[in-house]
Order: sequence, then C-alpha cells, then structure tokens
Amino acid sequence: MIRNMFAGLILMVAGTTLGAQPSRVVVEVKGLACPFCAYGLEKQFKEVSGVTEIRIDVEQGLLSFTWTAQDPVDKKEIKRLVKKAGFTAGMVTVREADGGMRQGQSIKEKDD
Amino acid sequence: MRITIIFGLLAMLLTEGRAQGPPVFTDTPIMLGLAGKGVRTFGHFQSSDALRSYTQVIAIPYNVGTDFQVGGVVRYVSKNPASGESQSGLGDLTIFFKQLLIQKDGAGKTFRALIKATPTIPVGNDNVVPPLGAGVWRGGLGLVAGYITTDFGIYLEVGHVLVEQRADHSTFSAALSVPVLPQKYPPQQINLSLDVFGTVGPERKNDVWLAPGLQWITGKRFLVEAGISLPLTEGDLAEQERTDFAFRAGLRYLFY
Repeated sequence: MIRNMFAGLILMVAGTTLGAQPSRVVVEVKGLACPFCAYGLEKQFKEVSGVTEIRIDVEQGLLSFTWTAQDPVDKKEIKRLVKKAGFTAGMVTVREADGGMRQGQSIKEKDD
Repeated sequence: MRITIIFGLLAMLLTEGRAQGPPVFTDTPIMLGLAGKGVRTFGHFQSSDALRSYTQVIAIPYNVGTDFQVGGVVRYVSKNPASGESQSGLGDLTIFFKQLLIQKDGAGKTFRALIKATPTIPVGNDNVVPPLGAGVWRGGLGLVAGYITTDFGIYLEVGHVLVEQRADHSTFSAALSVPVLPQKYPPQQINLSLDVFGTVGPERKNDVWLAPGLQWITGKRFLVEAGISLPLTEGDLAEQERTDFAFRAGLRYLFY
C-alpha cells in the first residue's frame, strides 16, 4: 500500500515535468516580401533543437513554430536568428499549451 | 506589333498579382535565398544578321554574413558569324563584391540598397575572330536599390565601368516585377517582370533594351526563368550588326 502510494507520487512529479506541453511561438518578421527568401528563415530555425512545425505566412509576415524544449523561449535568440536570416524581428507571441498567451510586446523594446 | 505586346505585358504587370520574384535582367538588392546561397545559371542567345552568339553563364554567390556577398561569374561563349569560322570557349571571368548599405524593413515590405564592385578579368581568348573575350580589364562600380512589397517589386541599378585603354561607359537598368498566382510558402509562383536597361558611353552603342521576363518558382529552392530582350535603339551600329533579339533562359537553385 505504502509502496503504491510512493510510486504514484513519483509518477505525479514525473507527469508534471514530462507533461510540460509545447508552446506555439509566433514571430512578426519585417521585410519578408519574397516567398523564396523565406527559405533562409526556415532553415535558421530548423536547425534549432526544440523547434518543430515551422510555418511561414509571407502575406502576414509571420513565422510560427512549436517550441518543445523544457527551457523557456529565448526571445533574444529568436531576434538573432531572424536578423541572421536577413530580416527584422517584430513582436513575439508565445501561446501556452493551456490556451493562455503571453509576451505580446516587441522584443526590441524588451531587449534593447 | 512589338509595341502592342510590350504595352499589353506592362498592363498585366500593373494590374495583376501581389508578391514578386527577382527580375530576370536587373540585379536585386536582396542577398537572400536563391540570390545569395545557391547558384544561378542561364543561357543567353543573341542574334543579328552578322553574328549569332550563345553564352552559358554560371554565377555563384556566397554570403559572408547578411550584409556582404562575394561571388564569381563564369561564361562559356560560342560565336557563329555569318561569314568566317565559329569560335567557342571560356569567356571573361567576373568577380563581384556586394555590400548592403541600407535595409529598411516593414510589414510585408523592404527597401534595400547595396553597392557592388565587379572587376572582370580578360581570360577569354581575344586572338580569334570573332573574339571570345574583350581582351582588356574592366572594373565596374554600381548601386543597386529595390523597393519590394508583397504587391510588387521595383528595382533600379546604375553603374560605371572603367575599361583598360578604352573609354569608360555607364550602365542603367530598371525593372518592375509582380506575380500572377497568389503567394504562399512553400512557393508555387509564376512571376512576370519587365526590365529596361542599356549603356551610355562614347565607344558604346548607346543602346536601350526592353525585356519582358517570366519566372516559375516551384518549391523552396528552385526557380526557372526566361526573358526576351528587344533593342529599342542601338545607336550608330551598322544595320547588319544590329540585334534582332536576345533570349535568355535559366534557373536558380539553392544548394544549402
């Protein structure tokens, strides 16, 4: 009985960690005006561990991806990768798995 | 007839589509994607009463960071004169350096301008008739600018070319580019472009060309393009030397 309760407690703790749901990150990309230039943008983010399901909407100027890593989303790194791809990063929005949304502010305002 | 076709195409360009691709004949200030991390090749066929020539061009750019690009242009030239022997072989080699000067990005639009230097090394054989190379060093300095939005792209290019032991000449080029199909990513696009370009100089023919172009972008890394350039004027050239038309077709492929 005590052994079962202990195992359950371990699973609850493990579940809290393993059950951390991926976040959906949406990045406003300024200067994105030609679709095949977007390949470089996709490639930059594709190489980042923890980034999956990359989508690029050229008409809206948006890059979105799923962040599956345990670490919090690093907005400075996002800004750097967008710049490295040849564009300018604007707003970054992180949609949490619970449906909540945070950080609508410009990363320029936050980081500079 | 030619003017009708040109104006018809111009009307299509001004009324159709949304985003755009790089123009077929004018340079682009965007050093990304297919313009910066791949290879571009095209065949250029030019016909006059006196000479038919074909040049296969391979351009390989390499981005050193996002603001600076170096690259080389290799040419294989084949010339078939109306009288005399045909000649073929390597043409002159051009090295290019591009430095981005201005980048103003907005939502769905960008204005960029760069300066470029294009020294050309006379490695093509100029001891044959017709010659495959110019036989002299040339050094070009140019400014390339573009305002590109998700609706259209306007491109401008001006340059000055210093020629060893000969008079200099200047070049100019402008282009408008729009797509026919709605844009999406990965792209499946057909783009139309219209270029006007020419040269001005005492030893040049003071020529002006009009060049409609067509592009098909299929997938993330591959672009096929073609264009025909028609001379509006070729200055003082003799009738048999005047170009009937020039045609180019090629592709751009992103390797990495």
